[in-house]
Amino acid sequence: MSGGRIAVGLAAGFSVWGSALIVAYATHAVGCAFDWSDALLRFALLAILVSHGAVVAGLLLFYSISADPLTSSVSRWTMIAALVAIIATVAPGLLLTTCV
Amino acid sequence: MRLRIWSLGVLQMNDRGADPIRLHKELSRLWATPPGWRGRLSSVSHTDIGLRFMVTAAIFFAIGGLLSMLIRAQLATPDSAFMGPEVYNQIFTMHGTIMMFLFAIPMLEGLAVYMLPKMIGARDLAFPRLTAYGYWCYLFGGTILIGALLLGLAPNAGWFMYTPLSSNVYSPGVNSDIWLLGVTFVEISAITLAVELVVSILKMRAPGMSLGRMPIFAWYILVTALMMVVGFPPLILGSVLLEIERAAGLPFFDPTRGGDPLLWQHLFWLFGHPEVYIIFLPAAGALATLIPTFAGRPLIGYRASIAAIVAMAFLSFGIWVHHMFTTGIPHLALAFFSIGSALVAVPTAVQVFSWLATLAHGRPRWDVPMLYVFGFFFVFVMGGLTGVMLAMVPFNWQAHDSYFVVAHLHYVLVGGFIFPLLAALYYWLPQVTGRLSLRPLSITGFWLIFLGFNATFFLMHLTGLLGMPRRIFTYEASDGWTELNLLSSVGGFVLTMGFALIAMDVILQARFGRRFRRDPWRAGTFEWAMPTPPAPYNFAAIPEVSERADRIDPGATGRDLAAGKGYLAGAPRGWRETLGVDTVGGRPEYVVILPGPSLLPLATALATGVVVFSLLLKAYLLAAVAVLVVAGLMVHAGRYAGQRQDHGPVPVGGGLQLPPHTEAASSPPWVALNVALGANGALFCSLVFGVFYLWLVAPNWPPAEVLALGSALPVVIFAALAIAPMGARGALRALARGRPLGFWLALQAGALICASVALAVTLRHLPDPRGHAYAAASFVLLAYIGLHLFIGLLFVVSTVLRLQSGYISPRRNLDLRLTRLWLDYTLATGLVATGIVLVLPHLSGIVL
Repeated sequence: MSGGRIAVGLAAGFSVWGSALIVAYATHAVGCAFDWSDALLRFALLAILVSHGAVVAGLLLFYSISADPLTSSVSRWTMIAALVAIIATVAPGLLLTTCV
Repeated sequence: MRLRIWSLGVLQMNDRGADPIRLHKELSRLWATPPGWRGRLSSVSHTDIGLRFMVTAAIFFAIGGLLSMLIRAQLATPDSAFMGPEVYNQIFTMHGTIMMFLFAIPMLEGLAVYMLPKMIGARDLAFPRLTAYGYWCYLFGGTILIGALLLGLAPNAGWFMYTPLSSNVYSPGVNSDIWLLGVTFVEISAITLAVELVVSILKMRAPGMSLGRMPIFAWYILVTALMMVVGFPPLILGSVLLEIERAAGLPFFDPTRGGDPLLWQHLFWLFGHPEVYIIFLPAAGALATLIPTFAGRPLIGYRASIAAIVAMAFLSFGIWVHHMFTTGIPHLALAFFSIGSALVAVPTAVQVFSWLATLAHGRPRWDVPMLYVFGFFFVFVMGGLTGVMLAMVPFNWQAHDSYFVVAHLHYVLVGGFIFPLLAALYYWLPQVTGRLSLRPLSITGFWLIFLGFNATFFLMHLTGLLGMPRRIFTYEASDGWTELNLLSSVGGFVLTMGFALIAMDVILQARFGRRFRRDPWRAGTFEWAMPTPPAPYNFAAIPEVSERADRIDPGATGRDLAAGKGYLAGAPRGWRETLGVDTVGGRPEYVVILPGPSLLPLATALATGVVVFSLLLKAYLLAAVAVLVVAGLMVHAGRYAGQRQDHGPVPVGGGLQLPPHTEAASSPPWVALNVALGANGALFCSLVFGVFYLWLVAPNWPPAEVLALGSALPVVIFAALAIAPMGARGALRALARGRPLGFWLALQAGALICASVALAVTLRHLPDPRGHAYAAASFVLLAYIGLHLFIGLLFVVSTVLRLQSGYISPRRNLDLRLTRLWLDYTLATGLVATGIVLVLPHLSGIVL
């Protein structure tokens, strides 16, 4: 297993979480700055949640067949944690008022 | 209770053995620091420099502690006339600055620099001269800050230097400049060491030590160093932008000209929040090392801990906005960061429970380090719980900027760093001094610190909840905070007595402590498999590891290694050598040849200090000259690095033959440049974030004037940026085929000069960068590329010089690959930066 692949395995889940957080924060800022409707802004945030969650789920499947015991189990745990973190971080915001 | 003796875990590669005394003399001649002052100043040994870092940080800690006593003296009674507001502002600003930048980070770096090679089975770090340069930069940067304090010119706008208070309108003196430049100077040191630690862990472990066999401390330091690589650049960028605003009037943070003070807060806390974890994680690594030793069993949850460290590292970067909950950010965005802030408690708890489970399933021995482990659990968990309270937005709004926050941050930082650090001090001091602790003083010191700390800071929760704001220099008796403040001050002085006792104890231990043979704690890691105090070469032979490297028997392993049973026994070639391995599996790949003592690191740091000092004095011509001197010294340092001939594989023991690192593909400098470009990329991304933030959020946009540029200049810039790396590739091909490189090197230099000229012309077309943040941001983006073109030219010049001196051959082609990598990066960032400069006028609402 190459060093690059190990690094990707360990960092992938939470990198996607970081992306979800930043993209959601930036999309929210852009939406509020340009007076998007509530529905559009919520839809955009939902799309961010679903797409990032799907990426981590895909990574999880991909890495479950890895051969290296330590890194594959640690990678799997970080990916599961990242998936939970994505849902926990972005989903509740969908219920709040948008630009107040 | 006696520890189970874990299996040896070391394969003997050189079974013949050798006379340990002969080996010791042979290696000491090569590795020892030369005698005298000149020798000491030229030392590049990680043992020397790690100790210097820690001692210097301890001195700064004493200064910071003294300042905290002045603060407590001032606040002990209402309406105190002890200090006026101006002096108080300097004192509390310097207390925070010293503790964060001059004590905590350098102390953890010193610990890592000293301990890491010993724990991973290496003879030194990857770039010993860089280690020395980092130390001198730290010392000089810290000296500037302390000198300013003595002269009454210390920073006075708080340790996080919020704008507009720190702008030259509200802080017109040199005080804020000293913070911005002094801290940036220290940060250079931090980043150089972070790069070095990453490379050393990834490439210089003992053979057989795969990532999965690393001692847990190495995992903690690896993640911490990577966090520093990504986390410090936003602060460096913020400091540079604020200094440019203060010195030259470019308005990045001035809302009247399209800037935004909140941009500073974003950049600062993008660094500042991960910083808390950067401080905590190495301390946690020390805990995860010593708790299993005292529990008498391996760490429970090794893998879960690694997953938790990775999770914590990422989460810590995603929650910087929780320091800005009261700045008017919309509720929905606050929710993201509030939840993220609460989530970070989960990986923290995983580690805490891992340590508790290790103790619960072992048979703990109580000794001085374990007292501090107990102190850690008590204090840190309390700090963590108030952290979760502060992560909740409604509570945060109530407690923001009150003494509740002061109490929380001290519980987290003292609990998460000082207590583990003191545990580590008592655990590893015998390794440094070869002597054991004098217990009565150590135990009394602990109780004074523990009781004094809680008396000081627990009460601050209450003063905060009673409404006392932080950073006020006095209060009135009618406020109702008098008794609590007086008790806090009494507690503070008890705490100080505890630290004074510890300092005395350390000195006495080093001088009069009982000597011991080896491994007094019955530990299972490599730093105990060597004589104490350690020899300058660490190991007479490099071990091969066949199981996890925290389960070895240091006694037997140490004897074998001293007798040369291992790789690279002795110094048959007269090289300072250690082994390089592949990143994941730990298979030996090459022999790393390290440089010897030199005054160049000191000279380069002095020249860097002149740059900083002349910027402080606004002597810009002198600063420019000093920059050229620094560049020249760096090129000079590189000129004679490496080997002047191809050696091919050389015997390293155990029938194995490996090439020198200069003839290997994935050598330490190659990995280092990749990591350094990661840091550089973090800075660039922060800059791009800043530009878009200003465009999107700052008031007074769009600007009145924008860049009016035809298509010719951008085409020239793009083409030149693209041609330079093509030249680098051509040079590599020519070298491989044994053809002359002159044309390709000239092509690179020509393209870089051409791009620089086109960039300079573009800068002349920009509107006055002092007029609006748009022009200022464009100016900085273009200047960033200009700087990279200049450094690219230095790469080419260095290649030419080294080619002439015989340091480059088809096998030794590292210089050309490094240049190619740098020019690739310059091309990528150049396209983005120039693209933004061209697109920004359209985004800002003005279509030309």
